[in-house]
Order: sequence, then structure tokens, then C-alpha cells
Amino acid sequence: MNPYLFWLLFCVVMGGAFGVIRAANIFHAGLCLALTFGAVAGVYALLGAHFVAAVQLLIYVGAIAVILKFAVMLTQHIDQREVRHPFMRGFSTFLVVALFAAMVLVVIFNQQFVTAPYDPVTDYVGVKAIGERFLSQGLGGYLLPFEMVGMLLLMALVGAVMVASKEREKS
Amino acid sequence: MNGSIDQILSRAFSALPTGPVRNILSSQIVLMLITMALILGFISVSVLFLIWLERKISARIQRRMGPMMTGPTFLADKSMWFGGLLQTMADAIKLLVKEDVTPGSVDRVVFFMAPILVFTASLMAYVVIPFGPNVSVTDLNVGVLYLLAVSSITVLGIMMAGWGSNSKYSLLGGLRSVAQMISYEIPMIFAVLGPVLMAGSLSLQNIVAAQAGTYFGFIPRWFIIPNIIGFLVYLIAGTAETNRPPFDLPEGESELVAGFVTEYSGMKFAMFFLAEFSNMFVVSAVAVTLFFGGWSLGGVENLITQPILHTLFCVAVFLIKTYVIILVLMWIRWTFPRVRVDQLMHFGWKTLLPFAFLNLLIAASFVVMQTMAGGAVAH
Repeated sequence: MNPYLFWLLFCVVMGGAFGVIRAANIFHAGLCLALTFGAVAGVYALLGAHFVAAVQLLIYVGAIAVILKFAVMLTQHIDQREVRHPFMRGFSTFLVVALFAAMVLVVIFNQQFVTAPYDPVTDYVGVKAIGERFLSQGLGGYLLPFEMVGMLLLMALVGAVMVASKEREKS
Repeated sequence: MNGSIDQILSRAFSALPTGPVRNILSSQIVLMLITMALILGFISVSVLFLIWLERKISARIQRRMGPMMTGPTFLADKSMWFGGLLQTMADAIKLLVKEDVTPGSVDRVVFFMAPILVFTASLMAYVVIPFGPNVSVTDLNVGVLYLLAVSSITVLGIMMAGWGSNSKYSLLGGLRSVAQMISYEIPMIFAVLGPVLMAGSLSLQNIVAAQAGTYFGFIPRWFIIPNIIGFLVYLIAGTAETNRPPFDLPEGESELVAGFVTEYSGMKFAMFFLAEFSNMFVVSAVAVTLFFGGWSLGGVENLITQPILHTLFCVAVFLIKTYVIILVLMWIRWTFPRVRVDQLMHFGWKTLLPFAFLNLLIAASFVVMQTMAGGAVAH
């Protein structure tokens, strides 16, 4: 792994994240978010997880960030400068952030990290292997979570259709 | 995969006498830059040619005199093919030297970044296109997924152009474009899954390799055979993804002036133009790779045993196939009228998507049948 590239991506991720919070304009904040998502995809690619990198780009940059901005563009007064920053919401924000940071730190310090030299060729997980894992039971299999996520998405889809059709009846 | 373009280059440079020149040339960054320059050069020249071709075809289909006749008389008189040859060059030079106007009320950074992002996204797609055996910049194991991911970045750029221009036409064009591209991305992904399923790989070179050989000794094993519906869905969705007529609602001039490019001029406009045509090349090249055997020609290419000639022949086969698809796309453009917004959405979700599912089912049953026949049909 190229350390210079990693630190470059790190700066982009952090810069983007900071931009999301600080941008006076919601559209700019959304763009910063897309930048962060893209740079995270770069980190995945750097780690040899090409599949995850491509999916990150496809779903987060290509879909979520776009939908988000689509929603932003449909709201009124996006140019208003008085968007209140989460920074200024004071105590509640501080509490949530502190709790979250504590949780992340606990997880990090309880984790045994692999410190052996990284070998991208032998460590590479192919798309086929990922697919087989998703559809197998038992050790190393993710059949149940996979199906559960499928159900969840289906429910969300049906719910969205319901909400949309109710709107139509009203009008 | 061995033998990607930078490896070919480094092999070529290793023939140079040792010294600082060779060291500089074979360093990773320089190799990367040379590869980038090669891609950029290829895109520029091929786009220049494509614009000329598009004008010729439009002129022939709709009998427009300009693109058929302009240019030096010795060319125009000799052959009807070369008339109008210099029009694109004049156009390119005009766009390069034209004043680049930035309207006063635009969101400067967003307005400036949008064409760059759109062009970069289209440039990134060229990295995985398999021009010939081992002739691709790199052969990613997730090639198909990478292509889809990269093309989805274009949406972001168009959205930035629409919003950053601070003009109602641009904004409406941008919104339309995003809705359209997101809708047509889904049937496109499902259409692409057919060949992926049959090849059992997402790498574009592997997909081409899986299409080598023939059925019954004379029909090439191209994935078009069970995937004909998938190909049609891909072609339609690809046209919509590149915002080309009849799906050019984002820039429908009778309604939105020029959609998201309304406020752009000069070089920035040229970048949108370049990206559109280069995307058209990508769509066609991917169609050839997935459905028409890429650089293979049903085994004929293996008759040429001399390695360099073999590679050149394969690249030529690939380019010819790609240009045939491009001709079809241009033919579609100048023949059909523009669809309406509601028709667009209905067609995408209620017609194209079910057909894409159907194609996936057909491809899956084909694979199952092949496995059951135990490869008796194969070879």
C-alpha cells in the first residue's frame, strides 16, 4: 500500500467531512459528502478490496449522494446563508458526538489488528467468493443476513409505493 | 493479467540503452502519464472523427448540404465520403480559442468543476476497455462493475452543471437528466448481467475470452445468441445514459434551450461535447465486448500466428465492430423523434426493466442447459 496515496486520500476524506459540516450552502455540503464517499472508495481500492470500492462508488457516489442532492434541489431557500450548523447546537450535539467517539474508541482498542505485511495478491477476495459466502449457510456463510436485508429492502420499497400512492389520492 | 499497456511500454523501454533516460521513462509515474496521454489522444482524435461522422450521417439521412459539401474542393469533388472533412477541425479550433464566458451569477467552483467531472468520468471508463488481447490499460477483476460505477459519476457532474449555472433551464435540464440516468441505469445493469452470468466473470478480458470458439463449427459463440433482448435493452439504456436523442430531454432545445449546458461556452462547452461523444464510444465498445465477442472473430483471428500482426488484427476487429454499433446509434439519433418525459419514465420502468429481467432468466436457463448438456454443444 502506498503511504503517500493513503495520506492524500485521508486528507480528502477529512477535508470532505469537514466541508459537509461547515459549508454554508446545503448543496455544497452534499458535494463535499460525495467527495468523502469517493475518497473512501479510493481507500478501499488501495486496500485491494476492488469489489467494495466499485460498489462504494456505484451506490454511495452514484446513487445516495445524487438522491440526496436531488432532494436538496427540490427544497426551497437552499441559498439561504442562515443554515444552522450542527456545531452551534451546543450541548446535545456534543453529547452525541462524545458518546459516538467513545464507542468507536472502545471498538478500536478492543480489536486485534493484523500487523503482518499486507499481501494484496493472496488476500484478494473475488466476486465469486463473495457471492458464494452470501448464499451459503453455516460457518462463514451469510445467507440469513443476506435474506434479511433483502426483506428489509422489499419492505422499504412497498412502503415507498404506499406513501406515494396516498399522496396521489389526496391530490 | 500480464501485458497491459504500461507493461508493454516498459518492455519497449527496456530495449533502450541503460541510463537516466531509461530510468525516467520506466518509472511508474511516467508510465502512468504516458498511458493517460495515450488515452487522451485516442479520445480526442476519435471524438473529432465521430463528430464528423455524425454530421455526415445526419446530412445523409436528412439531406443537409453543409456537412456533405464543405471542405477543400479537391476532396469534396473527388469523393462524397470526404466532403465536410474540415468542418470538425474548424469547429474544434473555434471552441478552443473562443472566449470562455462565465455568467455573473453562477456558483463559480461548482460551475467550473462540473465539465471537468463529467469528462473525467468518461475518461476513467477507457481504463478497462479491452481493445485487443492484452491491450487494455488494466484488466480489473471487477471490470464491469467498475464501468457502471464510473459512469454513475457523470450524473453528479451533470447535476453540478445544472445547479451551478444558476439558471432555470440548466436546473430543469439537470433534474431531468438525473432522473433519466438513474432510471435507465437499472435496466442497463440487469442487461449487462446476462453476459456476466454466462462468462462467470466481471473482468472484461475474461468475458471476451469466454466468447472464443464457435457453435457447430461456424456460429461464433458470442453472447448475443441467448442475450438478444439484453443487447437491445443495453443499447436503448445506453442511448438514454449518454443523453442522446431520442432521449435527449435534458437538453431538448425546444423546451430548455440547451438544458444543463445552456450557460457554458468555449472550452467548458467543448468538454461536455467531448464527454458525450467519448461516452458514445464507451457504450459501443462495451456492447461489443459483452455481446459481440470483443476483439475475437469466431476463431478467424487465430489464423494469424505472428504475434504483432495478430494483436493489430484483433484491435482492428474490435474498432470496426465498435464503429458499426456507433453507426447504429447515430442512425437511431437521426431517425426517431424525441420522447416525452412521462413516456420516458414509463418506458424505462415498465417496459425496459421487465425485459431486462426476462433476458437474465433466459441467460440463466441457457447456462443451466449448457451445464446439463455437459459441454456437448460447446466447441
